[in-house]
Amino acid sequence: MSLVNTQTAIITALFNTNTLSQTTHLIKSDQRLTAEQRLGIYRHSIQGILGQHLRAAYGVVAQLVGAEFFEYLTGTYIDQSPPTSTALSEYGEGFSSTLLNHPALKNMPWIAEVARLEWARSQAWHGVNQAPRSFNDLSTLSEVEYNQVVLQLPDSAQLMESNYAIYDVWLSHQNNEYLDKTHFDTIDINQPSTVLIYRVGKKLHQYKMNDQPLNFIKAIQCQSTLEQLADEFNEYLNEVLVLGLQQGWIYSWSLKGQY
Amino acid sequence: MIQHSTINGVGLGLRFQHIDHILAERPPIPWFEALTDNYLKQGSVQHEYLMEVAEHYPLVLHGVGMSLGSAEALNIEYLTKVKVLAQQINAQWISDHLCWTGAQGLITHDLLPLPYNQETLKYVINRIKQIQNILEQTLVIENVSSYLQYKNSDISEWDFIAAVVKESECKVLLDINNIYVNSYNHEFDPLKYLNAVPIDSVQQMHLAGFEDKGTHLLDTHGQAIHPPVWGLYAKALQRFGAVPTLIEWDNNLPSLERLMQERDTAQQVFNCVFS
Repeated sequence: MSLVNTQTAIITALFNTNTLSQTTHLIKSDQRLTAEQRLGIYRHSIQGILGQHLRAAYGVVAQLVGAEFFEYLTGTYIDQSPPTSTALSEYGEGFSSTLLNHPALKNMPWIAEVARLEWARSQAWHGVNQAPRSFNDLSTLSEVEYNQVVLQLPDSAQLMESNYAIYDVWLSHQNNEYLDKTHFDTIDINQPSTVLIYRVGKKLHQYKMNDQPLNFIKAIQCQSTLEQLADEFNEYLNEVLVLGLQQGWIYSWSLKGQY
Repeated sequence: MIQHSTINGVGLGLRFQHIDHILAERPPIPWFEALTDNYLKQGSVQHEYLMEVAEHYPLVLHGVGMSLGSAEALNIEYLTKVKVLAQQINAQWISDHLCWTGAQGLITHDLLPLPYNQETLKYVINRIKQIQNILEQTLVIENVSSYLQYKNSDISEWDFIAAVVKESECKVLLDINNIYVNSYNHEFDPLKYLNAVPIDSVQQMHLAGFEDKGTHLLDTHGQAIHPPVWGLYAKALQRFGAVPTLIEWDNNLPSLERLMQERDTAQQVFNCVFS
């Protein structure tokens, strides 16, 4: 059999146990291990590598559903959606859909939402930020230019809106370094929440957003100019500007229409 | 521009969990091997960290994404990224595995052995030559651990590697643990393997721990190096000379101090052979 046909047969078998026995004619057996067992070692290894990656990305989901069921879920996901990229960090985006569609989790759609939050965290961590422009340079702008200034979030920023209290659920499953964590049993799961996640330097930030900062962030994302922001947020402007600068999500600026 | 440095002695695999400690404490480790695939995204936090490490330590790059024996077309975009990264950190060499990792657009992220026959040999030699042209440097290829052999293999693994090296003029990253694991799993004399690898081809060696699963040895990189692997390492040093050696540890990752103890043991074997 040619190299291409051999590899096609084997990769099919590695992601689909139903075809494992159809590939054994390619592999040597001996007294210690049959061909099927030898292929099984690789299937187990691949499931282990990818499962470990998913466990790292979805640590809170793993705690919520329990280690055994999580392993079953990741196994299902790996067979249904094998990786297609050489970058392992890009693997696992659709895992929340697997959770959402699983009959056993039908009455707990918020678990899939926690998975979406964890994926957003992973993406923010691996995201690449633009080079920030110094806010001191604003003083060099003309009045016309100043009115065209738009603020920028870090490019790594992910804004996630959910119908469930995903921030609190996530926080309740962290270690005691998180001083504001609440006990899981006290959380009202059906409380909608919005979370902003972004990376600055070597640190990942995550904040639950209330109305004013959230509307401000959405206005930034819509490229509202400083002049428009001043009109819209009038009495709250100073407060949200200070918050954004302190928390680091007001990251850079540009002139409208330019990057 | 990061200055040229020489890779000598026993280095460690750079693992993300240790980077903060390494940058803060600058432990006396002569060089590190960075896992190529983790650092290819320009501007990512991982890339920023690696650039910082490169300012203080000599580095080599070790990847899993070239899929040297895959029947699929070469991933030029991937190779270009590797080349750029190697230039940025002044990597002393680039290594990857003599195996295949994907087919039909799917990637296993595992290292699958090749059928060792004339068809594969010709194909792999041509691929390595193409890769070396793209990278504009000699590629270093690593022997992989394996748990299966193909019915259409009719060349020994060691003769296959020797032929690849001879024809493609690449170098070898000789994984001593993988030779030992394979010698158990496929019942051959590991010294026969060592003695077949061309003496001047070995650029680097790897040492790691395996797990005994009863029916086979599993290359887990998750525990200390086993005594027979130390013995084989001493034999390899006698044959290939003072080749730079690296301790690989990925699963159940211990503290950097524990890794340095393992490094010290390797250094003792190294010193013993050359005293």
